[in-house]
Amino acid sequence: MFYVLTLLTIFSFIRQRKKILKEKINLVIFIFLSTAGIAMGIIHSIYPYMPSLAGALEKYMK
Amino acid sequence: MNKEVSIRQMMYMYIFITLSSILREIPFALAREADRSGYLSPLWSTAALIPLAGVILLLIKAYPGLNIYEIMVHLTGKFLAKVFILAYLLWFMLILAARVNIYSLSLQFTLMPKTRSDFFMAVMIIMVFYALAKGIKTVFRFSEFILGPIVLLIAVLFVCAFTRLRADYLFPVSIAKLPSSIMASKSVIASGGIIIIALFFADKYGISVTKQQKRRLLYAILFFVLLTFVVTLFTFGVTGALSAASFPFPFYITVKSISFFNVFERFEVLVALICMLSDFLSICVLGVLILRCIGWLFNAKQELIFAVPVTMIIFYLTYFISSTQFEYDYIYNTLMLNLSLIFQYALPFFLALLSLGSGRRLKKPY
Repeated sequence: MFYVLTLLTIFSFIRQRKKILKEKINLVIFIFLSTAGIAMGIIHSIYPYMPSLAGALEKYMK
Repeated sequence: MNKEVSIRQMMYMYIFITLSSILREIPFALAREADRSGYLSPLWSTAALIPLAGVILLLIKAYPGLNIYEIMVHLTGKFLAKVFILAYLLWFMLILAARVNIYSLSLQFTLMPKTRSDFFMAVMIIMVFYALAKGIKTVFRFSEFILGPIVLLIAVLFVCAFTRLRADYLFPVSIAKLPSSIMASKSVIASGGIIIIALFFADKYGISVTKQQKRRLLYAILFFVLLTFVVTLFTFGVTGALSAASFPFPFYITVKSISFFNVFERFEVLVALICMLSDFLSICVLGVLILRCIGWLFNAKQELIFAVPVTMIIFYLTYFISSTQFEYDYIYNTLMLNLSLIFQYALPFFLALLSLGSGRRLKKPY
């Protein structure tokens, strides 16, 4: 799924490049969101059984 | 002026997106919190939901044609408005990820226990992209079209289940249980408070808000409370509060025991389908709200171009929030319920107070 979503992001960038490159802020937000998404995907691929937020909350709120 | 979305459509959407909470989460939460008296909790929730409707109407009336961001800019200034919108954006991302999570967990619990959650999420992504490609109006029209048959189906289920109601599961309710019954209404208040999304689409209603439209808002809330009360009553009356507190989806178990004159049965599949449709529409609406919040936050005019990266973030966020039904229940009770009360009640009430205090009115020029 990681590869599919990454390819979709690249495809979306190529398809909408005129709108994205038209304004600097669009490009910045697109890169920021894509980087965040890809980073989350990499983390999930490396640590698929990483404790979730709920698990961490349960552990520290007891 | 041609309205993109009407208040009537918004109210249909409100009822539709709360359906999955009404059928899935509320009976379980009320049974666990208030035991046998839990079915009375929806009635207490009107004390919070009606004032919230009043706040929404007040803001729409005071600032016709303006959405919540523009109202915030007018009342608190641009900086604070952006801080609030950032907070709303994070909250929407959290509830969207949680909604995707519970959608896949429900399908695993009900119909397809051996299928991986990735598959359900991929199907949902395709459905949401297809729906949103047609425009938000299509999504609202869909809810308008499909809500009637669904309510009819739920009514038929109740007629079929009527003879199976057990009075000893519902009565007696002692006065000693009243405080826990009132406290349990928190989950109903949190689910019903999603009506706040009406303010995020307020710029699409046009500038004239008629008395009839105002009544629709109140009717929608009363319908939500009535439906919650009836669903909880039947769940407790057929399954019992003790059993309802043991299952994550007690209404599904209740419907399993219902048949139509011993001829038609297996209505639980339809219940799972209703929840799936409700989740689909809420994911569509929350997705649009996230994109709108990004647009307001960064003054980006074409926010739809961020749909794919946002999808990727939400997809992985579902794994980072919770991975099992127990974890979902825990995070829903400890974090999301309380955050919902802040974002659905505290902030809009604060805005209404500021609006009353400033006394200024603004109308969007067309």
